[in-house]
Amino acid sequence: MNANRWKTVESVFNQSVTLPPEKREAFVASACAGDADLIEDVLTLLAEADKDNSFLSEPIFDVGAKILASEYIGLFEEPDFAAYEMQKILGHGGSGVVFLAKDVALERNVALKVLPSTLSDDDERILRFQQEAKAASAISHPNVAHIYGFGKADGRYYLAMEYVQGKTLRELLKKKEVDRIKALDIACQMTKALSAAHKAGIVHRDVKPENVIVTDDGLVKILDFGLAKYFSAKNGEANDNFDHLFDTNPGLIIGTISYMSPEQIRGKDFDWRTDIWSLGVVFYEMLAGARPFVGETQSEIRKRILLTEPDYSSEIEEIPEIKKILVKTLAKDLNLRYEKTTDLANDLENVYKFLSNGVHGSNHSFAAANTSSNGAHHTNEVSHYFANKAVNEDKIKDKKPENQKIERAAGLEKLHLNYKFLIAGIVLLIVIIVLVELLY
Amino acid sequence: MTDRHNITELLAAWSDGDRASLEELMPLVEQELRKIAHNYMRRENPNHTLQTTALINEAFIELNNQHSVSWQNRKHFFAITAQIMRRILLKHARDRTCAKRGGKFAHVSLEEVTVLTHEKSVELIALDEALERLSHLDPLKCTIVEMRYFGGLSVEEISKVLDFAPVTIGVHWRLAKAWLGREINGANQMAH
Repeated sequence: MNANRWKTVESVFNQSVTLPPEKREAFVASACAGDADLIEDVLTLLAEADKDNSFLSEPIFDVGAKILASEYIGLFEEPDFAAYEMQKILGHGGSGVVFLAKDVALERNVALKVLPSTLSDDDERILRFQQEAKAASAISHPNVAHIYGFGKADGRYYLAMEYVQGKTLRELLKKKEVDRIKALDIACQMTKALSAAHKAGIVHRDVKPENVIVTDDGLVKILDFGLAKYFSAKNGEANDNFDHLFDTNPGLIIGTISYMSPEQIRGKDFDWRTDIWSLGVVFYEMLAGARPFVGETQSEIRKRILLTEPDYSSEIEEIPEIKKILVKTLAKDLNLRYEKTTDLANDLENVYKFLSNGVHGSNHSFAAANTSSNGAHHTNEVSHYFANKAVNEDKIKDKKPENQKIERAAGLEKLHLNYKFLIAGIVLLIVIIVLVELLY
Repeated sequence: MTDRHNITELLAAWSDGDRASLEELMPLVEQELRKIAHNYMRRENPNHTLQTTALINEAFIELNNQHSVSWQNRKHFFAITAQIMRRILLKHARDRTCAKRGGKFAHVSLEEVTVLTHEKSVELIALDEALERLSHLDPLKCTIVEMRYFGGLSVEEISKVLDFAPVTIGVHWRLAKAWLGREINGANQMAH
């Protein structure tokens, strides 16, 4: 194509692309003075411009940067271990790859986290890796992946752990496969795992959907204790300074801080309650389909975490008990947050048990509990359940504001029904009047 | 390490339009990007999005510090990084599409690592060939696509680097995208 012709194509394309589709063809025909090839050329380009599926819209820079970074440290080099046979790569972090491997002696599959050989003399990194192994192996709980071993072979450090076959919570969220009941179930199991960790004096510090695996049977496993720290039970503080994670130029920090607690953001001392917060963020995200603290920049998110209350409207507000749990989990003031992880576990379990079994002993399915048509009815049942429960358990105490709210909600529902009847009556009246008018 | 004098000369020569000096400059910038990208990865997990401009800016500042070179214009640097990314991704795409059997990763499926899928690799190779043709037809559009797609820059950022109004960049980008789309789809139809 010569340069002049291309200039014409460009000019006609640019003039016609902003026109309404039905006017384009006539415009192009006249602008190209009947040159059939030229018309065809412009029209096919216009058709292409209308497609919104161009893969070009998503820049690929990130992928290139990841390749650069992983090549730099030899991240994906396959280790040559005598005891393990590598099968495939399950995933990778910034400085380690997780292989699915076969333990040759025991003939079982394991997940093998391997550091690249270039990091074999990075003391801090190795210490961290060892810490992860120690922390995770100190917790014996069905919701925490078991650690089988830690060692060095072929010049590379590795950590062998239980291979959990399933999807990460992040994948489930992306596919919108988490409904309310499932969210409660997952949150319950996560809390139990964290509860066990906290009893062992370990804070996970990195609770987020990427670190949670859900098996096909619904079993939840918390992974990646790579940032875990021991806290001293005496003063309840973690014995690690978090600042070094941010030892970078301001404004250059990347990645998500969305799950960090206010005290983590401030770089203050923190304890197990930081995990309670992060779990709250995950729980909220599962219910609302979006994170509680969002912003376009890191500093905006940080500001929201420190200053703004999450939006508890829509689905969350439907069940006051869930909202109550979230408010207590996402309390910026540590004194207002759940003090004990086991308390949170109990509260979650109560709501979960009720919603999954129903008040009258009937088994409500996942779908029934969540369909919009049943939603209002179900909410009422829940409200009554908790209202009755509260009355039975705590007759002496004054009515809690939540219960008053529940009653108000029930009242509103009745009002809403009456309103519907009123409208129907008026419509009927109008129809009768019109009919009478027509007859005469 | 390349000597300081040499780098300054290379840059000056490249700014003056000596395309050959680019071949010598690239490895230097590439190594820097590698190191910085790695630092980012080490700090964060792989699901996060890199802030493109932050990364390139950091590389730029780093090179400046090391070699006291004054890049007359940042646009050269952005253009270089976009070209480096294009080259690296293409190399990987080609490796992926003609993966050898019995190689080092015989049992390991890298595709699951989401770094670069087979499908994406095929797309990339087709795009690269189409871009090559576009560069003869309309070099400016080719540069814009490189910066946008491979360099990850926004329309506003490109407009600053190339010194055009954002709306002009947007107009070029729209036609370039349509043209490339047609080229690539056309090639697909021929193949089937």
